Amino acid sequence: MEKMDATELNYLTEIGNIGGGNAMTSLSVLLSSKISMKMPKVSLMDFDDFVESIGGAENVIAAVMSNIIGEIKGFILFAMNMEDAHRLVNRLRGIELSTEIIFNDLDLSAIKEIGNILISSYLSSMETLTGIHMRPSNPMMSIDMAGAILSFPAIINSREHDDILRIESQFEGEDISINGHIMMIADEESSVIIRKRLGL
Amino acid sequence: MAEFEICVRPQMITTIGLGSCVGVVLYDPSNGICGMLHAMLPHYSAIRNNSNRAKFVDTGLEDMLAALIRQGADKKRLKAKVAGGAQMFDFSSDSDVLSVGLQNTLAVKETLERLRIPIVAEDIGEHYGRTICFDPATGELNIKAVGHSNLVI
Repeated sequence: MEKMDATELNYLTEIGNIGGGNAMTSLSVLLSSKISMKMPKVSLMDFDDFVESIGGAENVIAAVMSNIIGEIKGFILFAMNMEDAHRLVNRLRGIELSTEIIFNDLDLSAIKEIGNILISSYLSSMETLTGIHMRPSNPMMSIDMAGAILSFPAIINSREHDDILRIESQFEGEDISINGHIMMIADEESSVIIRKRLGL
Repeated sequence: MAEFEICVRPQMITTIGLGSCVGVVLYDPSNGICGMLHAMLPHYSAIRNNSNRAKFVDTGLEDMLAALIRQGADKKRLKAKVAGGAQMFDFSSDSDVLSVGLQNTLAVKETLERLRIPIVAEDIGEHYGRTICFDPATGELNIKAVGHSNLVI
């Protein structure tokens, strides 16, 4: 499942740490609560394993995705389980709502904004570490089955095998805990550029 | 994903979480032999990295047809049902890459026309994922989607 040597793992963990750190700061402001982060879990995996890691192809998730623009091309996607999405929305609204409730436009744009913050944080940590210029496009969002959502970026980049960077971060505040998954896929040429720049 | 399976009644066949991917069922109502393809991209020839023919609509359908005939299906009696090919994310720009769902369903129509197999029912496009299950005993394709009621075509 994971084909990484120690150096590669170090780099990827560093991306998770720096990106997660930036995200943590932004989330603290947004949720007006001190947010801390557990050590992120970073791995390279194939499409099927990624889908399993987030609860299987039929599990409903909330996902925010951006194209990566700049010196490299690809997609970066932030996904969380509906439980986490509901916790987040409840927190932002300041009330407890049933997990059955359908999100309104304001809720959806809040989820999108949080996804955007996380995506930007991880991408900027990647930029810092590699020195490769990259930024996210305007975020797009979807709430649906994991298999249906996640297959899209994998297909576009013809990447189903061992080439999906996954960062799982757990953010915790006094009364809130959010588990977020970042999926990053670069096209073939871009992967070569990244590896070269990192000396891998 | 990126594969097809043949199945004979009383078995049923299913594929989970079709997004921009397309699901195609070919079945012979006279003997309950059917196949389901879960294809990811429209054309085999358009991609360099194409070791798996079932990943593509055109070659996937050709290979599945051959497998159905080997299994005893009669090509003249085959019918098709199609689901999927959604656009999961709302892109404002409309480049080739982004309408992969639409390209997939177009490729299904082209290929089936070439193979002279009629499409008798379809539930395609839109912006949501689908899980589909086909029962060759009844010829019914059951479609589940998040936030939508079950559909039988």
